[in-house]
Amino acid sequence: MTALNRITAAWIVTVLLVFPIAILFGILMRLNQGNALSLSSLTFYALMTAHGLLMVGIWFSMAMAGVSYLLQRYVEVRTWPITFGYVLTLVGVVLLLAAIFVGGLHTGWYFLYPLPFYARTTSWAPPVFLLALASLGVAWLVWALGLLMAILRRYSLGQALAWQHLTGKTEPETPPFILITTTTLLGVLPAFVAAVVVIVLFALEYWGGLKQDALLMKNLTFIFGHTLVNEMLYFGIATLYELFPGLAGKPPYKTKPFVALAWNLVLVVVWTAYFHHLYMDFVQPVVLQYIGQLASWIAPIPAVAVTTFSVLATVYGSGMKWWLAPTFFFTGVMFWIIGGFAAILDAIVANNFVLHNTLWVPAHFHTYNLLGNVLFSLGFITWFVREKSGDDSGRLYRPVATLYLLGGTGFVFAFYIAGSASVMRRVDKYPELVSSGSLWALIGGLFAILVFAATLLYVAHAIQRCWRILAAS
Amino acid sequence: MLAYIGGILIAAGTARAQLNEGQYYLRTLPDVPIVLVDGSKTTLHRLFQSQSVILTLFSAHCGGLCSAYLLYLRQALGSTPTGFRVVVLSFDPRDTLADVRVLTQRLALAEHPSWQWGVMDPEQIPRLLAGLGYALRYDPTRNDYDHSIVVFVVDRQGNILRRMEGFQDPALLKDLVREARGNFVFSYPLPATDVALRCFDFDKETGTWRLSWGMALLLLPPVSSLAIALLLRLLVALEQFRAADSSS
Amino acid sequence: MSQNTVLALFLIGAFIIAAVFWLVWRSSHEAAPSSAEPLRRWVFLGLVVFAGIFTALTLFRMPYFLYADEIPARVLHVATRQFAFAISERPIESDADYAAAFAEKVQIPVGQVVEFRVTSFDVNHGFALYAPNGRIVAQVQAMPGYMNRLRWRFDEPGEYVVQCLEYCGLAHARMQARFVVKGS
Repeated sequence: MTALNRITAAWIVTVLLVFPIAILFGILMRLNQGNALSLSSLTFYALMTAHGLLMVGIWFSMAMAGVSYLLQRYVEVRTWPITFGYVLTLVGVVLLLAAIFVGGLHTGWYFLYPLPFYARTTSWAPPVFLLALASLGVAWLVWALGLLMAILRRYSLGQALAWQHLTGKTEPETPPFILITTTTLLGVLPAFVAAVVVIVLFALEYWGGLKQDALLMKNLTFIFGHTLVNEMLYFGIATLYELFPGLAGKPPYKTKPFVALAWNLVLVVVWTAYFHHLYMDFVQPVVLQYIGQLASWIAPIPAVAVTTFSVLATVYGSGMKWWLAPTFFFTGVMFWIIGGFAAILDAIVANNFVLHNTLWVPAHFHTYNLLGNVLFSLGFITWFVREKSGDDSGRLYRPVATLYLLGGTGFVFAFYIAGSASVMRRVDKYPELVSSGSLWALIGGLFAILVFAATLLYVAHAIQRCWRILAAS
Repeated sequence: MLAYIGGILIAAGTARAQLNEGQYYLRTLPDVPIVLVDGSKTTLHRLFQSQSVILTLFSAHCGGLCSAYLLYLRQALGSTPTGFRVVVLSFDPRDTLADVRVLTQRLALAEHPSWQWGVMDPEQIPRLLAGLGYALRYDPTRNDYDHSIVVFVVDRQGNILRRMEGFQDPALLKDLVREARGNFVFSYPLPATDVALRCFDFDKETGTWRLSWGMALLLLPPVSSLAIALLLRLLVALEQFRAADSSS
Repeated sequence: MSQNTVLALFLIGAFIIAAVFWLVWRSSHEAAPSSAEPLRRWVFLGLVVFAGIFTALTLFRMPYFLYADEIPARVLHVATRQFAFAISERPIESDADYAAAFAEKVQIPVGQVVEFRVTSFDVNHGFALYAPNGRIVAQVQAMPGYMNRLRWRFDEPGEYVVQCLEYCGLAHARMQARFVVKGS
C-alpha cells in the first residue's frame, strides 16, 4: 500500500504547510481589530475570506485523507480518486488565492448573493472564484464517490448503514468506522450538489442577466456551507472511533443497535439543521425555523450520548499511556461538546435574536474546529507518523499540548466574552459602539500566537517525517 | 362595466400614492353620531367597539362608481364576513334612510347584520371626511360629487390601520381583511417580476407562503445524494456481475 | 434569555464538561477495570430531559410573533443600501424617498410598540438595534426583495444605534444609523 502511504503523506505535508499560514491570517485579523495593526479594509476582508476558505479546505481534505487511509483496514481503496482530489484541490486553492489576493475578492467564504455583484473587485475575480469553488467541489465529489464505491464493493448499502444492527443482529458485522464513514459520505453529497446549484445560478445571472431570489440563494449557500463543515467533523469522529480504543489499549468499538440508530438519525437530521443560519430572516417560513431549532437540538444527542460516553468509558480507569495522539483525540472530544453546547444555545431562536452574527458564532465554531476537528486530524497525523517512522514525538508532548490547548482556550474565550457583549463578527475595525471588542481582539490575538507557536513546533516535526516517507517511496 | 374599467384605471394611477401610509396611519376618527338603516341611533366609535371594521363611504344618489364599487366589495368581502364588520356610510346630505334601504335591497345586503349601513347629520359629514382625509367635491353642472373610492381598516379604538383606494386585485383586499382581523403578517415579498425561481410564493389570498419551484432546488441536494448512492450500488452490482461472468 | 444568562449558562456547562473530562483523565493513570456501560442509559435519559426542558422553555418564544396582538404606535420604514440605513415614517419606495429619509429626525416614544418594516435595495444587510448600554436588544435581516416586520417596545430612553450585522462590503463596520427614544 505504498501508493496510499504516499498520497496520505502528501496530504499531511500540504495541509501542515498551509495551516500556519492560515493561522497567521487569523492573527493578523485579530491584531487589526485590536488596533495593533492598521490594515486596509480590503486587505482585512481578503484575509478573512482566505482564512475561512483555507481552513475549511485543508481540514476537510485532511479529514477525508485520514478516513481514506484507515478505510484500507476493511476494503480495497483505490488511490486514483484521492490523487485526483489532491491535484484538483491544489488547482482550486491556487485559483482561490489568485481571486482573493490578485483579484481583490473580499466577499467572505459565503459570497452571499448578491454581494459579489456589488463588491468592488476586478471583473475577473468573481468568475475565477466560482471556478475555484467548482474545482474544489468536483475534487471532493469524485474522491467521496470513490470511497463510497470502495465501501459498496464490500458491503451492501443496508449493511454499510448497519441496518442489520438496528434489529439487534450481530452478523454480518459492520464496524462503526464503516457506518460513520458511509453516513458522512452520504451526508456530505448534498453540500456538493448545493454548491453546483449555487454556482450555476450565479453564472446565470453573471452571464445571462437572470436575477435570482435572495432567499433561495441564502438557503442553498448554507446547505453547502453548513453541511460541509458539519460532516467534516463527523469524518474526524470516524477516525476517532477507529483509532482511539487501540490508543487506550482497549479492543475495537462494536456497532451496537443504538450506535446504528444514532448515526442513521444523524444522516437525516444534519440536512435540516442548517435552517438555524436563517433564523433572522423573517421571510423564511416559520415552520422551517421550528424544524431548525428542533433539528439543532436533536442532532447532538446521539453524538454526545454515543461518542462522548464511549470515549470517557474507554479512558476511565484504563491505565493508558498518554502521548500526543490520544491527548489530541481526548481533548478534541471535550472541546467538541463544549463548542457544541455554545452552538445549540445560539440555535435557540430566542437567543439567536441577540447573538446572531456576533462573535459568539466564531467563538463556538473555533471551539469545535480549532480545538475539536483539527485535533482529531492531528491525532490521526501523529498516529500515522508513529506508524511509519516509529517516532512518538515524546519531546514535543508537553510544549505542543500545553501551548496549543492554553492558547486555543484563551483565544476562543476572548470570542465568547466579546460575543456576549454584542461585539459583531466580520468587521475590520470595531465601531465605538462596541469598543470593548478591540481589547478582546488583542487578547485573543495574543493567545492565538501561542497556538501558532505550538503549530510551528508540531509542523516541523511531522513534515520532516512525512517528507521522508515521500522521499523513500 | 365601463365604470369598472374606469375604476381600475383610476386605481392604477393612484396605486403608488396610496402606499403613503404614514399620512393616515393610526389617525383617530371623530366619534360622529350615526343613524343606522333600521332607524336606530348610535355613534361611529360604538360601531367599532366589538370588532374591527372595514369602512367605506358612498352616496345613494351617485351616478358614478358607487354602486359598482359596493358590488365589488360585496364580492370580495362576502355578504357574511367573520372576524370583522363592514360599515358603509353615506357622505351625501341628500340621502335619506329610505334611499339607503333601496340600495341595500338592490345589492342583496339588507338582511346581513355584518354589513351596517348608516347616514349622518349633514353638519357631521365634513368632520368625518376631514378625519378620513377623504376627497370630496360637489360638481353643480352634473349635480353630483367627485369623490374618492376607498376603504379603510379601522381598529376597535377608532384608529385607521390601513387604507386602499380603487378597484384593486381582490386578493389585496383580503390582505386588509387579515389586518382587520388582527392577524400579524411578519414578512411579505416585494413586487419583483424578474426573479428566476423563488422558494416560496406569497399567497395574497390567504396571507401564507406557498411552496414554489425554488423549493424543489432545496430538495435536490438530499434527493440527488440518495439517487447517487443507489446508482453507485447499481454500478458495483454491474462490476461484480461482469467479474463473475469473465471468471466463469 | 439575555446575553449574560447565555454566557453564564455556557460557562457553567463548559466547567462541568471540563471537570468530567479531567476526572476521567485522572482516573486513567492507574488501571482499575470497571464498566461504565450501565451508566449510558442514564446519561442518555439525562440529555433527553435536559434538551426537552430547554426546548419547552424556548421553542414558543420566537421573535417573529413579538407584540403580534398589539397595534404599534408608529411604523418606521427602513431601506438599506451599501452603507447606510434610510429610516422614515413614510414608505421608502424610490431613490427619491430614500434620499429624503435622511433629512428626517426619527424619534421613538418610550414604552410603546413600534414596527420597523425593513428591506434592502441592494445586498443583504443586518438591522440590529443596540441599546444605550451597547447591547443588542433586537435584530432582523434586511433582504432584497422582501419586507421583514420587526416589532419592538423600547423601555429604556436614550440614543440607540442601528448597526449592520450582515457583512455587506468594505465599509460594513461603519454602516450605522442613530435614533432617540424619548419619554412621553
